[in-house]
Amino acid sequence: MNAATASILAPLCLAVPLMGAALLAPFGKHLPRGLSSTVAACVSVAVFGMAVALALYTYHTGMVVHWMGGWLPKHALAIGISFSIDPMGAGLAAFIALLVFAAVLYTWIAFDFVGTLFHSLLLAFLGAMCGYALTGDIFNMFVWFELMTAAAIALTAHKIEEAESIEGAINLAVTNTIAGFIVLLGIGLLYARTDALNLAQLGEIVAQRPADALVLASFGLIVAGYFVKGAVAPFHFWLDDAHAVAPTPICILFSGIMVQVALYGVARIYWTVYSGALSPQAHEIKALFVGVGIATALIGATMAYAQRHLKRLLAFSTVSHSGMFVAAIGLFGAAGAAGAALFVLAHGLIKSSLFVCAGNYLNRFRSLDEELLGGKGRSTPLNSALFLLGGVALAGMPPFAISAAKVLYDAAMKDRALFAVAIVMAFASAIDAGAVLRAGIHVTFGIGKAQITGFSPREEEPECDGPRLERTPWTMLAAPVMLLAPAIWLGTSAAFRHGVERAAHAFVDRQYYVAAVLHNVHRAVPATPAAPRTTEDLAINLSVTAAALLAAFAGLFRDHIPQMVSPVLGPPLKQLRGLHSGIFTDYVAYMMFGIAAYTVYLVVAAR
Amino acid sequence: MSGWTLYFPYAVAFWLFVIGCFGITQSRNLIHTVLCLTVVQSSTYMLLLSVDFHAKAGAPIFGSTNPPGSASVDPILHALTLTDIVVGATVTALMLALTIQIHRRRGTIDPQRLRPMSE
Amino acid sequence: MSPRIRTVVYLFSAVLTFGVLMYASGGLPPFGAFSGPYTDFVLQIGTLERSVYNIPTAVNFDFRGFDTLGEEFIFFTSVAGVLFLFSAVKAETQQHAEPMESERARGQSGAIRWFPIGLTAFIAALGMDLAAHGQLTPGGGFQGGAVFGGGLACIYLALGLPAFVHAVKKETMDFLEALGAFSFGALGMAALFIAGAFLQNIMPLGQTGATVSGGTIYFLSCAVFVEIACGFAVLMLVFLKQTQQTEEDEG
Repeated sequence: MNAATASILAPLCLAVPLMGAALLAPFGKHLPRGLSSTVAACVSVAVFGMAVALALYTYHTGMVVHWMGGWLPKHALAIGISFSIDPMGAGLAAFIALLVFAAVLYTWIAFDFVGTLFHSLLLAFLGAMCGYALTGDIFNMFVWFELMTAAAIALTAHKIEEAESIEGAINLAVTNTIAGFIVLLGIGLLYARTDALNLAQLGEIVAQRPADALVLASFGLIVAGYFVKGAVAPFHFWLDDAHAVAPTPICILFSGIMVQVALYGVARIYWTVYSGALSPQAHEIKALFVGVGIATALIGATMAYAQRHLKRLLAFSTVSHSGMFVAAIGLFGAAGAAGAALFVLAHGLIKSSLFVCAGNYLNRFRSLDEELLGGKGRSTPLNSALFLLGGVALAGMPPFAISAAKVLYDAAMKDRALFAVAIVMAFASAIDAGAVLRAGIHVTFGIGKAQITGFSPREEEPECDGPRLERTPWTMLAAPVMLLAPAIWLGTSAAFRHGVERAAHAFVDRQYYVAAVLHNVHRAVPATPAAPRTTEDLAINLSVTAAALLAAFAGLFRDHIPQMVSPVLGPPLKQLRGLHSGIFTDYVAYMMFGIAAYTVYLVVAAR
Repeated sequence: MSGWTLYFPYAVAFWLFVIGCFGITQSRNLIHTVLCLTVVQSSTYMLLLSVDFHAKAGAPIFGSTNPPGSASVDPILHALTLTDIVVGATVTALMLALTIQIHRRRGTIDPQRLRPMSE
Repeated sequence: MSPRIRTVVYLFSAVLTFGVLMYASGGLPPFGAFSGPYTDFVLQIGTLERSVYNIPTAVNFDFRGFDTLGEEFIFFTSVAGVLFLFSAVKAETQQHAEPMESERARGQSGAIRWFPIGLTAFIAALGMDLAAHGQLTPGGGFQGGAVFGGGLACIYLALGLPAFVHAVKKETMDFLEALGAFSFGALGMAALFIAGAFLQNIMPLGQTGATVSGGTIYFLSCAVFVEIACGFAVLMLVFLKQTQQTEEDEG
């Protein structure tokens, strides 16, 4: 493939899904279900192919920079909007397309068909996320962010007969819209300083003098805004409401990739715009990211453990993992970025398969409540086995990829003597995976005592039409298998891991980015030695898995454990659960608190 | 204009943001919430348009009385504001659709009485 | 969280946020003193190289036309979302009986019936004018489309829902809206394959000040006008039909 082809493929990754969405929408119910799904599937496969091709090309040859409208930079002044594609961005776009394809397939086999609008919205969502991942312009990122939000609102409220769906969608709408405006305020402040909107250009101008309160405040605002979508504390409250009510394919997309795309955006903006100017303050910013990451991981894990509704449990698990990604990014190194990237891929696949298994339970037994489902999992052995497998995969048991990812960022942590952070992360992973395992074990074998706290509508409407299923169809079982299999490959392929490490080195290198975007200097990703896998890392993964199993059994047999823990943990846990009230008025108050905390911390402490 | 008044427009923008969000936290009616979102959005317009203002410059629309090359304010932020307006309109539409549906299902549009997932 | 605690938390945070943002805005250029290379470049080149007088339109459809593509699709997705939200309910997809002429319309004199139609025609023409001359005077596809949509509301206000439903054919509007969105992307892709850059201005630029000038700026603006106008028509139709639904629910 040559440069011209790569340059043509770049905008097609976005244009094809959007035009597909425009094509499908007017047909409404006049198109047969198969045709609509085929179009959506073909579009997502096409985007996947294009993105993979771009990832390989950028890996070997250098960044692909496509200037929209033909406006090339004049004397290093960026005029148009660019798609600045590096291997990380292209890889993320490929993963987005993969998960959308999985969602389309699942919809095809397991869903009521209500017209082409669902697929149209899915394709618009796909296009928006790809645009967000590939673009090199800060305002353009905001535009695709808003498109993601608009599609997400409509898709969440799909089960429109249920009032909870609408309430979840309203919470999502209010919080994410305000988030967009926060980001726009930050962009406005930055523009006032720099008169530029291109990421590379912004980085160059901002790095010219030491960062002052304005630059720090704009950073705080942009980070806070994108962290809302990224479900980082204290902005994460909308996510569990949306997940509890959204249909399964949408949960796949939200948990699998939408949250992670927002975090990628923060990382991208940090590395290209702020890393030069803020290098004297790197320590304080690292503290912010790691601190917030740990807090989110712990809150998410604890809340996950306290849930009885499977989807809400998985949603809080996503919040917890989101915290882990932020902490990994916050370690500020190529190793951290590589670890986060691998973790995102693995988590996306595993969490998606868990959601599909949960969706299968819903369709079969009309409930997602841990207590109601107790023991019923035995009648769908394969589904339950896949659910449990997903649970241990989440904990990091080899050969699943999360173990590889943990290896990488654990290595980063050990280097920097952030041992305490690693311990807390491992603890959060254990609790979080333990919650999934506890639910899985109780549902499958019926042993132990189910979780009785947490919100759960006992009976729910299944997502597919037709009579009650006597057996889970093989098509619904194929989906989790197809999602977990690549996760195994990710975990065992040292070549892929090494590739991600090298791509991460390019990702965190601001000069590499600026040279390609503004000066048209293209280099392949730097060759770096591979980080070796040691037995120590293997031991860490196995022990976290063991801890997760321990946590699961502790939850199931908690009546037999001496009552030491609950007087201490009970009241704070009750307070924490009280915070998750389900009304967006509270969430907006928390958001303002978060904005104040982030910006005040940055402006005061990081000077 | 001099001194602190030079920063007054920015204060208005930040004030609108804060008071709009305050309205949302106190909201007892979803339509009121939607309008408060509009106020929050107008804070972004205010900031963007205040930033790009040039004293003693005209609009970036040229013609016979205003030939190209004459002093003008920044057109780029105007274009960004246009984009922002469309974004706001669309979210308003979606939120209002959701409001109608929730009124059908629950009979109320008071956020305090819509507690789907309280623990 | 009790309302009082929530208010206290909020006010505390809001004061802090306001304070820190004002402190940070000390680094902003004072009101009226902004300048920069990007702005200067666009102002100099806009008319010269793109033959348009309205520079924000040039920015919207040429320099930063890609943002406009996104913005257009945000609107499209929202309309699709609203349609989706109202159509996914099984009960609401029942065909309503053809609505009877409303009380209001039946008793009106000829002047009251025809005046709104004339007004709508005028507003519609104004909208089309704004869109078609967007590159010369303040205006553009978005503005023109919004005005056009507002004009359609006059039909409802004066003549009631049946006339509005009759005037706005949903299927046609759906199709036209999608066509507008699709053609924006199609023009961009055509430019991609012809000239190598997505959304490049590949059409002849014409003379500055001519009615049709600016190359693809003109056509993109028209595509956006079609999309926005039809989108607003569909939105209003869907929302106004809900009032009928509510009347049926209640009475």
